[in-house]
Amino acid sequence: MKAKNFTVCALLFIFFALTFFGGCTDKYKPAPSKFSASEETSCTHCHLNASLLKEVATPIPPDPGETGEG
Amino acid sequence: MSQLEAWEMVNVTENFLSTSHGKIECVACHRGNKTAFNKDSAHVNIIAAPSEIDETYCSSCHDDIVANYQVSLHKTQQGYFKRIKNRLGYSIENDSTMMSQFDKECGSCHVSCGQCHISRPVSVNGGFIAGHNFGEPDRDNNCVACHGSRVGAEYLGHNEEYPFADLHRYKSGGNKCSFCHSGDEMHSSGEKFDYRLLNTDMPSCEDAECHPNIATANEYHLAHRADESAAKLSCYVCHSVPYKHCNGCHTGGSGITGESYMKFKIGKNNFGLEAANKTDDYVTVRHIPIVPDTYASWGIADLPNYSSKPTWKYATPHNVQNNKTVRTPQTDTTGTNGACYANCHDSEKYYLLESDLFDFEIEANKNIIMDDKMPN
Repeated sequence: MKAKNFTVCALLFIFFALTFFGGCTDKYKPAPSKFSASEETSCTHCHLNASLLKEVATPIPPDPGETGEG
Repeated sequence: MSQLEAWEMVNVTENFLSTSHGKIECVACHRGNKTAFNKDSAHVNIIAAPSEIDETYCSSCHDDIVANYQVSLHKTQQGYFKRIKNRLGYSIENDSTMMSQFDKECGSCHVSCGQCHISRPVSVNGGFIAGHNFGEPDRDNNCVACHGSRVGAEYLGHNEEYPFADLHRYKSGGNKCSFCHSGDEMHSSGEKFDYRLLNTDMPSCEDAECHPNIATANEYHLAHRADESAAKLSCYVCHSVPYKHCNGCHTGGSGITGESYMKFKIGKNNFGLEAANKTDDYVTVRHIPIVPDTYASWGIADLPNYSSKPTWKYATPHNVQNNKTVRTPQTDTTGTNGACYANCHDSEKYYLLESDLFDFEIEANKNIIMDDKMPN
């Protein structure tokens, strides 16, 4: 009898666990992306966007002129 | 070379993301904070140029190259240290005061992997060449960015007085310096050299894949390359047009202080380059801008061993002509009744003589000037 109750409890636990975690996975599934998940960051968000970079870039100092050892 | 706009310098192109390097997460190399959408917070602890730490960021995939690169002159700048040591009498590498000056004024000529394979060199403010894509060094954006004032201008034909580009420029592949200069030479193949002319991985005109039998190709070559009983000329002696020379260079911000000038000069090869198989008797020589007080602003009023090395150095001008399309002045027979030898055998015009030198340079160049070493 005890073994039967244990089996029923275990099956119920597995059922609820699968329902809970399965739902969780569906709910938080990453949005489809043209980039790999690892690249979907603020880095690429800015550095692929020329217009945004133009807005936020810090101006560089003037060209120092001819350089190099030849 | 025009300066890139600040935004262009860091603008990644989408095609980079499908390359092998582009599939690596940005923060794996650059650190920073990938979840921040504010410029300052995103860049906290950023490593802008990871390949400066090549043994950490590059060697996991390119271990052989990175291991060899540790002794490359492009990385160590040992050529600079050696040349300074020659005339100063001691190495500045253990002198923190001198090293801080060196780092400030000469250190930017060191290059990391990225400065040749991703971006322009730091000496010209950097910036992506192709949207962060990695690739073979680009002649104009990488090599000429550092080697532009003399070699680059010669190769491209940008010297106004002698606007003749090197004939190799127009060969298939001649748009890349790697056409002649191998990865082994650039990265080093593991052997340490004191300076670049001793590098045994440098190309030679007579390499098997270039001009292996050129020494016997015509009567001129037979006389000046193949004849063991006669003096041997470097290829440049006949095939170069005049090239750029520089005068006084001074640290402390003033840089090259003398006017550069175009000249063609032949000297005696007493440069001690036998180990690198540079054994021609007569070679082209170029004036380097070292003067006794070059390092005055570093506290050295006069270099104590100034005369220990020539101030005209072994030169390989990058403006080679085939003497068909463009005739070099020294082989030009105009006014010589067709005698191509006249300019060299009947004239001293193209030889480096004591009269070409400043008084303070005479001792330094006594072994290479031609006054007492003229060919028969």
